[in-house]
Amino acid sequence: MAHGEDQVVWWTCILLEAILVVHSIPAMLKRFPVFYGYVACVLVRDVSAIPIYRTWPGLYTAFYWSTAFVTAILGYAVILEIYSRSLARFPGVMRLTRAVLVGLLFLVAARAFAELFGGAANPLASSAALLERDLRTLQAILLGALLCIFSFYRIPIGRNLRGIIVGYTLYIGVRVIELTAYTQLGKAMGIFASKMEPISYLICLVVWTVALWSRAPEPIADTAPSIEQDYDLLMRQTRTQLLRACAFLTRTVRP
Amino acid sequence: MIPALFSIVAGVLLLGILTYWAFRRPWPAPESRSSPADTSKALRLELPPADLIERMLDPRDLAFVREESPAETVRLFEQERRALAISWLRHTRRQVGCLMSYHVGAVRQNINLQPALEIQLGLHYVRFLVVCQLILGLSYVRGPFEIRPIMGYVVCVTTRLRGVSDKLLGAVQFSTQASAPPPRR
Repeated sequence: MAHGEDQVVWWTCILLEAILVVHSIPAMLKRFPVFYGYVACVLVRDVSAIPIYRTWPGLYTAFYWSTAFVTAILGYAVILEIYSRSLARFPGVMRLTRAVLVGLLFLVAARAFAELFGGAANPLASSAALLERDLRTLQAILLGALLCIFSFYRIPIGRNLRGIIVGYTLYIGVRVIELTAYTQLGKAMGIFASKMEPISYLICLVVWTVALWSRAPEPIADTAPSIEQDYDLLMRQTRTQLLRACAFLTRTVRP
Repeated sequence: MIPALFSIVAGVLLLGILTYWAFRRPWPAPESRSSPADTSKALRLELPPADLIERMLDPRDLAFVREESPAETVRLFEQERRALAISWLRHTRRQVGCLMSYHVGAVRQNINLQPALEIQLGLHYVRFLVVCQLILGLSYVRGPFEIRPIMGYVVCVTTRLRGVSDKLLGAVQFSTQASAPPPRR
């Protein structure tokens, strides 16, 4: 991409971030405070980056990677907000999700410790880019698990939160690939991937702006009261049918 | 290189899951599933008669047709039996799918949901779907009579699925106010 087009993407991103933050006040800010805090942080970073780059170019790399680390940490708070907002009306699934997420965090921590003490050539935080890659990969895993649970339990999600999830997941997916290409797949791949990242972030900001432009109602919770009332009857019926099905299947393909 | 590969796979998988989630068919409106009669219907596992699949995939039939008929008839025979076996498999899959749909709808708001059992059930269900797809593919590649032994595996997984679902539904039964056991006098 030419330098001029880079500038257009850069300024459009800043403009969209500013629109998002300003437009959120006051209604949407109360609803998704962590998410808007995250966008505000990114906006401050992007705006500050310009004078730093022009005035102290030597400091820019350190500034970029340290702020990237901070936003990566803030990303976990965004995931936590997505989790608590989307599953607030589903305490059972919330409990299951908590168990899955804690299990995944434990697995990743165990892997990190194994690398650290196993004398691996490439420990968790050998550089800022690698550290961010690892943090973002963990976010990708957590978001993937969340989306699988949303799909399996068919959790209804309103337009606003859906927009946040789609945009953020898209950004994380592309960012993980970009950081991996940048750190380990050679210079050519790294340059190509770094060109993709601003475009994917622009798409993500467009998704957020459209989805969060107005306050959408939360989807109605399917409480299914009539089902609960007839649960005893249904339970007996289900068990009978399942036992019948099991007997049928066992008989059918017995060698 | 392994961490890099792991990250790339995680990123690509995440984008795939996002695409699936964003474009999947929406859940039907609550009104359409609120009737107990509808739910009861959805729960009923209506499977074809027990002897049908056994009879359909009996290798003696194939041996007989091979002995008595020309190659064209054998081909037609195999084609018809394949269609029947696939239809049986799809029907079973649909029925189990209905049961799972009901299950997730019934348990997702329940605070007493058991994560370990739920994960077990989910894994069984995924395995069931994978095996069904595998058998469908094999029936085209190797012919309908070759898939008969693998059908046993579907049965095994279905039985496990039933067992776990039964346990879970049992747990839910006593966790709702309407279906709680009567108080002791």
